[in-house]
Amino acid sequence: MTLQREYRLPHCTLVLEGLSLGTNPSYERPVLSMLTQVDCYLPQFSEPLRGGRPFLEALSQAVSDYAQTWLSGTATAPPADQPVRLESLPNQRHQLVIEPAVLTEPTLNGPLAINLTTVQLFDLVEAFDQLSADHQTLPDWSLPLEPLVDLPKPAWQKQTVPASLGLSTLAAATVALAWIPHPPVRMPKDLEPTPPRTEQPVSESAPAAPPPVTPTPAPTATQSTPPPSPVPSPTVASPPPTTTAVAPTLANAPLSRAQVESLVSKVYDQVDRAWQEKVEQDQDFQVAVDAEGRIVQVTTTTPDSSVQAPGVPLAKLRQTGSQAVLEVRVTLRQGGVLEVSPWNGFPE
Amino acid sequence: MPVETPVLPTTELLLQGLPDPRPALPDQECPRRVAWQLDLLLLGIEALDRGASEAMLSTVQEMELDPVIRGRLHLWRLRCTNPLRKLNQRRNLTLSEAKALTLLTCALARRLTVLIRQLLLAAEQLEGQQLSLDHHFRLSDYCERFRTHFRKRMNPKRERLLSYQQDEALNGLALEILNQLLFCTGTAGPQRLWASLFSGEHL
Repeated sequence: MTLQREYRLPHCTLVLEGLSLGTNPSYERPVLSMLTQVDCYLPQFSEPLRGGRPFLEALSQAVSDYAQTWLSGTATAPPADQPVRLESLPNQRHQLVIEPAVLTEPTLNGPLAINLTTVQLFDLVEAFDQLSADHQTLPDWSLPLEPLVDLPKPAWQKQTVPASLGLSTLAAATVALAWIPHPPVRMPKDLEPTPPRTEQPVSESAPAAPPPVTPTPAPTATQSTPPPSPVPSPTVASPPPTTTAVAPTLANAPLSRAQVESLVSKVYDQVDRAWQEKVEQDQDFQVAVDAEGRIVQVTTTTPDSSVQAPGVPLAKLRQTGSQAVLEVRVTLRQGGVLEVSPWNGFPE
Repeated sequence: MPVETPVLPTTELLLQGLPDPRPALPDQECPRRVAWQLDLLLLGIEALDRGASEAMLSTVQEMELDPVIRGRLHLWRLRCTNPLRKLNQRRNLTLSEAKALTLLTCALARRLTVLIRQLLLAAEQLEGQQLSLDHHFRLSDYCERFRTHFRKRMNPKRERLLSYQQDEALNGLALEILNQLLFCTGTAGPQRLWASLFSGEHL
């Protein structure tokens, strides 16, 4: 027995014909389980669009998918190889295109194009929705409606272009700057170690002149490693940057702290015994002493040129003839205070 | 983070009729677009029916959605999760809240099926005759109420809304909403509306 199911809407009527397979109790509405023919009546045509199950599936799927994309505002052109497709037109219109191959009686040579208003489209969609909701007609067929989340692109993807542009600019700038020659490094002349003192000490320059930084090979024990620049006899320590006076080179091995302390105290004793005069203002001297503590050389380092004849009390103590091993600073202050300290500080 | 309130069994059955979106959303929170769409549709319903706000509350009661939509003020707060409103709640709708609002919107739209179809057919005729919307009283009344509500509630400084400053643009939006409400009146209206909420522009 052929069954017929009709879904009638103002702008669309869907008529399904088919058979019921299996037995049903007579008081129940029989289930149309096998479709033989579907007719789709649209207001634009007097004759229905007629086809079989493939036509039903193609038309329903195309219409449903199109309605969803249109509702969410993401309507895009469908692929051209589908037998039934819909496209959006301006002014809330929609074009339904059906390939004749999917119809039972393809009388036309080319695809069939039908323009629908939104209300007509809705009626077509609603007819299929009613069919889908009817569990006694084609219970194995339905129109899936699943919410698929369309997540935005992660932020890092949007930042890729600016980031890569920045990095490439940085790389280019680095290469460009690498071509600029860097300034030549020149060691100050006086940083080079002077030859060892083997005879009379070289006359020193006036202390008032701005003294260059001398790498007085201070006999400090801070240099435990061998010095970087090999110099013949005196082991030259790397230049301590604190010295400011020109001085004769000391030919010696670095002294220990104990040795320095003992020399300093010897100098102190000598100057203390010899200093009798009153000084008008503080006087500073750089004194070279030998290994016995005898004063070998005296240089005035007081900036003021109006000072008395240099080293008045100290000149008497000078004894030439031996080699200096240590530079000490002697300060004669007003009020009779005497200060003696190693010129380059105590070794560690 | 909004707390999920426990729901009654019947309400839960109703909400389960709408499947959860895939892939699963983090924290069960909907994208901002969902709140924007639902608020606009409810605004359309208010523009169609002057008694819509009372109808909303009675429909919530009838459908037993009150565990999720707990009264007039709560409904207003849910609608204010729309990020383009002036008074934005600064939180996102949960899935249950969005489902409840979807069901409510479709139920209200179904009550107004005849009117919606009437107005859309009238708009098609006017357009075919190249006449403006003012020639149909009911349609122009709907558009005017839509414009008034929209301007009162939405934040005009938002970039997304800059194109809706002119009356004509808002009339176009009003008709778009009317068309969408038509689809809400169908047999599978809630499912179709729900499925369309999660894809589209990102706000």
